[in-house]
Amino acid sequence: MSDQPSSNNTHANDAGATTHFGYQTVKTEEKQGKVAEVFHSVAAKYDLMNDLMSFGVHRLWKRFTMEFTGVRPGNHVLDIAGGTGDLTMKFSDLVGPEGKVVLADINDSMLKVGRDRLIDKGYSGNIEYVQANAEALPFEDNSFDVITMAFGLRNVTDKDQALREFNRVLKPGGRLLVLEFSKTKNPLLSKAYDLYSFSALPMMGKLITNDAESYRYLAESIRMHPDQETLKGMFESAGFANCEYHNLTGGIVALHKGIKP
Amino acid sequence: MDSTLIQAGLASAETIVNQALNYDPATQQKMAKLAPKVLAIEITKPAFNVYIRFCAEGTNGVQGVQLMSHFEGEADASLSGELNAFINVATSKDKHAALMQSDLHIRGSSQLALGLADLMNDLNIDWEAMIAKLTGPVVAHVIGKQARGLFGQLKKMGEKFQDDVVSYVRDERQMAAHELEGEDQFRQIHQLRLSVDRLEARIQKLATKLH
Repeated sequence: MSDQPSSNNTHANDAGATTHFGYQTVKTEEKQGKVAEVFHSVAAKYDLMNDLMSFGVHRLWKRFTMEFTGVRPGNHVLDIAGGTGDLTMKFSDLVGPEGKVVLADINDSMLKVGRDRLIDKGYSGNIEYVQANAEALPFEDNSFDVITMAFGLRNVTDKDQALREFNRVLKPGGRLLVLEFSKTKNPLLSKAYDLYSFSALPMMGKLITNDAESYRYLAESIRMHPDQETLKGMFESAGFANCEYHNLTGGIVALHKGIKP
Repeated sequence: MDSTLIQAGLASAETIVNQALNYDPATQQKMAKLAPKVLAIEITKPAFNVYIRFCAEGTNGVQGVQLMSHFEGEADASLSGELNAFINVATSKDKHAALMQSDLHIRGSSQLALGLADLMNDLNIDWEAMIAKLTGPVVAHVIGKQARGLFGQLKKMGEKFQDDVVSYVRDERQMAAHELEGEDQFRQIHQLRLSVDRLEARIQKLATKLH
């Protein structure tokens, strides 16, 4: 893994601003398109792959996230990078007819899969579907009580800008919850996880979606994502208070929480 | 313990409870009326908290209860105490009375905690219907009949064993007092405590006058 870029952030050099796309260094303006290609490719079998790759544990991680949302009837919730709508579904029940849930995703394929799935399950009335870039949210200031982002932040080109946007659209006292892959400090778990991520995941991707590259990107993007303390610092820099994180499954995943003062 | 394992345990327990409640619609409806109240179960030894949120029927969500390891905000009621005190209440015949007499500490809406105890008292799950879903009605009826007979016999055996043990310990070995003797003793202790309280109050009154 020595050839991986050393920085998690977008940076400028002589050839223009660059960022990482997995272990590759790409021009900043190219990353969004490349990520979009990945998700267009996996959208149709996203849920199936999530269940297979995590052995269903992603549902427990999302369940844990829900406990920290504190969502109440009548609340307005933004589920950004909401994909196939796992969290939106739960929010829809909790906010009730007086509340509102916005399922937003930058990728129209993912959004379509999510919208169809929710409609098929009978969810309507308090859900809006919005194609939106986390770095430039099309919402007014102080609009939401809660924002959640599950397994989406590592795909965002300018994470700091996205966090500032979340802060802008949250109401004072509102909370941001980011569930994302992180870094485990257990050396044994780390080795097993590396072996699984770089061997088994691309193979499963190849077998099920006929796309090993997208799942190789998934493993690489996880390694390039900021660790727990760095992300907590980014939350604080974006203006969030009472920032904290909870490690899950030995730190493979972490839930970060911040409150807009 | 890792939060993922706790979530796995809670998710499994929640599924079992809600599946079982589907076979007792009366209790399920009464529970739905408690929505969206939250009851905190705070086990002090070993330290472990569970929050029970009562849920009315969502579009496709949980109906019955939702079990959580963490709750943002204050629960409507909380029950705290050691694990064995919870087990004693859960396994007693009259859960309402057992809860009132237990070492469990109730905070917040005692109505909610006692209401749950009443619901558990009235719980009547139609196990035969549950089995029928898997095996069909004829086999389920046979299994149900056999199970009822077996449980009845086990219950009788248990009660007889309990009576024999009580008789042996109390009458033959004279290691424990008779229930009536015990009650009399407790009544005397209670009277004594009241007298001591009254005496203490009088002494305090006199001391106030003297000062």
